[in-house]
Amino acid sequence: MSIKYPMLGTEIDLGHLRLKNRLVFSAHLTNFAKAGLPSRQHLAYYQARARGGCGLIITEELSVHPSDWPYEKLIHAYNMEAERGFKEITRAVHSYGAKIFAQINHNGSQGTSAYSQYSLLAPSEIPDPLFRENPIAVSEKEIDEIVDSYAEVATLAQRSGFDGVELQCSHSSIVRQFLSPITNHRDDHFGGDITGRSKLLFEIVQRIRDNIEEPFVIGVRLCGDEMLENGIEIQDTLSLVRLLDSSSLVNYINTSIGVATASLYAIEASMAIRPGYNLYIPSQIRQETTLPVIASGRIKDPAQAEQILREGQADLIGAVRAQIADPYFAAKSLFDQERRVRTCLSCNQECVGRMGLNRWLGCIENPETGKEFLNEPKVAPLYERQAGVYSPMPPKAIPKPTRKSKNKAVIVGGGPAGLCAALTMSNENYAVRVYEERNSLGGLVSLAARAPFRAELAELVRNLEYELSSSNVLCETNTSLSARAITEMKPDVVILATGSSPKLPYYLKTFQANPPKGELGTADVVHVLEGTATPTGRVLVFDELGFHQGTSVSEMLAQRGCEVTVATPHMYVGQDLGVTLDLETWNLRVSELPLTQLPHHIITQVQGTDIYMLDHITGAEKVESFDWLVLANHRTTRNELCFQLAAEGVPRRNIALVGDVVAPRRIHQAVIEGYRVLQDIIDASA
Amino acid sequence: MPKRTYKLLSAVTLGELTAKNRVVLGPHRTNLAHGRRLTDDLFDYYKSYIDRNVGVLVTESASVEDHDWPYEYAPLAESFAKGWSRLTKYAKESGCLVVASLSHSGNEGSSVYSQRVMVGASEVPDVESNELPQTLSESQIESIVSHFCTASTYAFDAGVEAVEINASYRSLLRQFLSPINNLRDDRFGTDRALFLKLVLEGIKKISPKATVGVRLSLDELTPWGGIDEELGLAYIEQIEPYTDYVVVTRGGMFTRHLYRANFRYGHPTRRELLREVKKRVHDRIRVVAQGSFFDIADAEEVVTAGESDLVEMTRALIADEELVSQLTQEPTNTQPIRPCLGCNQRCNPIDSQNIRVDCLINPKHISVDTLSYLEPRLYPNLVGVPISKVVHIVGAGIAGMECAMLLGRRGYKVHLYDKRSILGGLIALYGDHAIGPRYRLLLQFYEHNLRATQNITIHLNKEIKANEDLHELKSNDLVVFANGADPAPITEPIPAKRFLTSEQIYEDVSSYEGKVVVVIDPRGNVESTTSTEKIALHAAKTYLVTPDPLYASRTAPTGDMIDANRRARLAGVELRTFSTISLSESPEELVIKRLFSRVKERIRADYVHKIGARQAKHNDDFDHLCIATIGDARVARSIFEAISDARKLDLYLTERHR
Ligand SMILES: Cc1cc2nc3c(=O)[nH]c(=O)nc-3n(C[C@H](O)[C@H](O)[C@H](O)COP(=O)(O)O)c2cc1C
Ligand SMILES: Cc1cc2nc3c(=O)[nH]c(=O)nc-3n(C[C@H](O)[C@H](O)[C@H](O)COP(=O)(O)O)c2cc1C
Ligand code: SF4
Repeated sequence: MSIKYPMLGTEIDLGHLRLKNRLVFSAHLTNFAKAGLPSRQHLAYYQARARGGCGLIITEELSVHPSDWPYEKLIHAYNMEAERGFKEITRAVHSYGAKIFAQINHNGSQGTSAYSQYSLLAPSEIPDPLFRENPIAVSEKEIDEIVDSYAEVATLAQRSGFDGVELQCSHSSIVRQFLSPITNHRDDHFGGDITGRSKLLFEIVQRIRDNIEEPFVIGVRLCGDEMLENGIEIQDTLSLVRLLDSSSLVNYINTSIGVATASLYAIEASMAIRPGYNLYIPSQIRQETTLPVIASGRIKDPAQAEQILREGQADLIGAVRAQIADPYFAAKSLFDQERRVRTCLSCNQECVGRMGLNRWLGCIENPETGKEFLNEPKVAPLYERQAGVYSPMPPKAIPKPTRKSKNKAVIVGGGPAGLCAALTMSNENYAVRVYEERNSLGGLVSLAARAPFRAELAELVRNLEYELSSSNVLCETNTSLSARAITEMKPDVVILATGSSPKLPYYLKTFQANPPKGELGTADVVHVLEGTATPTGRVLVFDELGFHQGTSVSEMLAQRGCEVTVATPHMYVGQDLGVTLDLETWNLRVSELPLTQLPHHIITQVQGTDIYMLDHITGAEKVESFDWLVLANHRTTRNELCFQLAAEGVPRRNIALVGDVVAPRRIHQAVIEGYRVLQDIIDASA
Repeated sequence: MPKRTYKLLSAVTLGELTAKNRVVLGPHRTNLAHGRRLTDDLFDYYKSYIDRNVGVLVTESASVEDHDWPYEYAPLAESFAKGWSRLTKYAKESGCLVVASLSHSGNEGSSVYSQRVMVGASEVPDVESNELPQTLSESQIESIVSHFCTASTYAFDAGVEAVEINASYRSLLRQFLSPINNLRDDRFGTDRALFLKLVLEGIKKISPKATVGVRLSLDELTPWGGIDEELGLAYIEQIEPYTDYVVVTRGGMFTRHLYRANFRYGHPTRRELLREVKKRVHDRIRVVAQGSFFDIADAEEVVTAGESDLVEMTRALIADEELVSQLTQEPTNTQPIRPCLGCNQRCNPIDSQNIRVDCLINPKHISVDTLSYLEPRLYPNLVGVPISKVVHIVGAGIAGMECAMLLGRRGYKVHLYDKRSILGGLIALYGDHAIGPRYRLLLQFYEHNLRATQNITIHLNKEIKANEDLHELKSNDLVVFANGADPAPITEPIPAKRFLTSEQIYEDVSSYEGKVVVVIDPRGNVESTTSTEKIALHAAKTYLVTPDPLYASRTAPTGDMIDANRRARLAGVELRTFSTISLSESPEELVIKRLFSRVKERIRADYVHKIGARQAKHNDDFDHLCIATIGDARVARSIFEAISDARKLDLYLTERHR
């Protein structure tokens, strides 16, 4: 048991139910549902986290009523056919000693009629700011039906082996819509003061209690602060908590902050928001109740979790993305292996970012997330054997020390693609060497992490380096290899992960990182991050990418005192930041800096220090003089080595390309291609 | 009236095959091909066209290899093969010609479903995904050619006798043809049509007798580069030896919205271009005209003028499945066609949400199944009461007219009332601005049907305010409220008297003529652009205030987003994005607050209009027994839901009377 984190590993009771530790895998959408039912993908996904040692799993929201169908891959729990799938999930989770609750919900106005062909239901006729569809104000008869449907689904959950249910009264829920003065304008007894507005909540909980068999855990997830004008604030929540506490109907309180469709960036905070930002909510709630309280939001470090518990800010720790990124987060943390945790980057790229796009959940640095159903883990790591001590799990054989392999893999490039490929090849018993021309590993990711509020991106490199440190992979930095030098090593496989280089647009002849006085300095964002170019004065950042490359470097330059204009051909600056919930926070930060935004413009020519731009919407042209032009443009692949190797007689099937050298894109593609490189080599030669 | 003969209905050969008529249902995304195969839903969808006399049915484009996976439910040739076989078997009887569309989307697809790099001619990012492709090597090109051949084999083995190769919308082959995407200096760059020719040649080699068509973009409409008409015509000449027909289309990476343009772009394919194509190919190969052929008359004209041999009428068929079958009926039975508006609001499900193909004016997915749990809630007053076959419909907007038409056909005695002197309700007010002149055809469609049905009585200039206003009313006569929405109460901190309602904007222009109007826009949809443009036409100055990062943010699927932004700017609308509104101390002033910087801008404003601020009608004065409420009166939404509501009521009553 953990010496460092004793609190985190301590048991706790929720009602009659004893949890083996304080780590909770809180509710989150996965888009794994098939035909509205729980799937094999769910089963393997939850099973992996139970096996990874967490004490409690709360499922994604299960919808209670057919009028609720806000996104395609919702689980329709009112469908009795769901029972079979639920039973498999609860059985699997229980077999590892973890407990599991079902989150049950109706999204009310935070939805669409597009799937159900039926109009939305809500407390009042007020459209949601994201979905923008007018709902119907529910009649008391309809309220009664909804309350019934919660109770029915709760009994189904109990029959299916769940240890409890959690009522979502937070992010996206008709219950919160009743609780919030913004959405509840009713003048019957379901409106008015907090007693009226919480009437629905209490009716639901009461009706569930009346219908299930005791003992059964019922929890509520409350939104502590909607972060909206005239919305629910912490004081309202505290009044509600006092009501809940005195009612003795519920067994615990889970917390959150923000509203899914208006202030999602607060719920699933990215790396731009400081850790602990919302702890005032559980800690104040805890002052008002004896019920156990769960904290959640950007907790991904066991030390931070332990501190929250020690300081009495919460009784349990919800850690979602931490366990999306690493299913063994709990076991590794509790068995003093926390350095091995594949720490979540809080990048939101492949988890949160995919939900709105109707894709299955994944993780930027863990290609197995969401694909657990495809393969069982091959090697049981040490921490799992230790976890096995307290969870009923068959101990796995200890891997034999790797024999000296005859097969040699040479990997050129130590960015994420190269490092992932190195791990894959080493797991397959290749003798692997990685050559990196820079003085440190991580490639562009390490550089990108130098920008303001992007530092946690570097966790990716740290995670990979740590995993490599216990493998047989040898990494050499400051080494640039010729094709001849590579062939002389007689490798069986050469993996090129040489990444990309800046591309000059047609209106520039060269980059000029040290401009003579009075001339325009020109650079790529990477030059700025490396420090090989230091723009000053009036800077035009031209952003063709719309992701962090342009916005983070603009912010960096503006922080340094440059007078920055960010121009982009897109309709607004940072058009892809919304997906990772960074658009609001970036705009908020730069609104205090000397930074101007210039959407829908393209550069037509550069003459001296004059930059000519065209507004492609109106056709208006303009010329402005700048000291520097910094480009966040599409890069170009660095694949020369591939041709040189071919010229040296290396057969094409022995060369594999991974990451930006295939086509400059993003981290996830680099990670995936590195991860499956061996399979791709095998497929290609077949 | 003598029965008209249409050349459009005459048979035509396509290679060695014969199509029974010249109307083509083109390949289009349906989001029904779950598992990348032909599902029962998709079969039923196609069946509804096969049964209704469509001459040629081209199936949804199937990817030729699994690395190409442009959207979640995109067919894959290998998986779709069984489906082709099922379709051809079914179509045999009616003589509908089933054509398999084969495609590779290259750089215009998606990397997220296959988790494979997208491929392309050169390192040119796509404008939408902004993602760079891998530049294909010659050996990779050869392997894609062989994928096209294998995919054709799947189709032929399934009994399909014709394939159509996509070299137009979202297509790798078009990317190779386009000087914008293809910057290569190898033989695939010097001869940009080489890739396409290799594909066609390969397929013809496998099955020399099969019909092979090409969907070709003849003009990417990008004057600064890309395929232009001259180049497009040259391509036709190059591929002619390997092909039996060509579908003449337009649009490229930058102009995808012109491939199936909305009504604003008028008639798409220049008829001179069609004539030129005809001139080049003579009668050696067939020519199919494509793009915004919404009306039979239009299609008939190009065919009789000899400008094309067939006409693709995809959206027209989506709007009314009976398009062709109507023509073959006796004149006395004919009803005018439900006219496609060219609005692209529901039939272009291009985002990732996988909404099924649908139609704004012809909702397709309402079934008794979806109704069963809804009945009690949709019609709480009707449960358990006897209902007579007399119906009074209050309000002759879209909901009321659809309802009257449907119930009239079922033999109800229908009274349709409206307080205005014309039929059409709101759409008659704003139609010109939202949908252009085509909305009038929709009104004509309803008017014709209503007037042609004997048991429907229309009462115009008749406002129904209270029970007494309903003559002949028996307690079990059905009253349907379709009287539209009321203005919603104002939630912004602004005095109510300064608000303009939707009705005022269209009916009472003089009230804001020459004034300063602020539009609050929390929607960003078609209603936003329609009303903003109408106001800007008359107001001295128009401000548009939206919390979104851009104006008209939700109009992308209609293909109008960029253009709407252009129009608003050219009309002098002051756009304030990322902004909200609040009251200032001075009554003449409003404050526009930027969301993040909190910078405040004070403006003098006379009026405020809020987009979408409409709420359900509370018909509380009526204590009648049998009441149903439909359309905006039930809850303010769109034309789609107005028609859906009417159809649901019709279904419900039919079930009840059974
Ligand atoms: C992809 C995703 C989907 C989510 N969906 C839900 C949900 O359905 N119900 C809910 O109560 N919370 C949901 N959440 C919020 C999480 O429970 C949690 O509060 C949030 O991710 C912050 O915790 P973390 O920093 O540990 O990830 C979701 C979070 C993520 C990442
Ligand atoms: C300044 C800069 C910032 C970047 N930021 C991100 C980012 O936030 N997320 C991401 O997925 N990729 C980002 N990228 C791209 C990845 O760094 C790149 O695709 C990855 O390092 C490729 O791996 P490889 O070099 O091993 O092939 C950024 C690139 C640059 C130049
Ligand atoms: S995608 Fe990013 S934020 Fe999401 S779990 Fe993975 S590392 Fe964390």
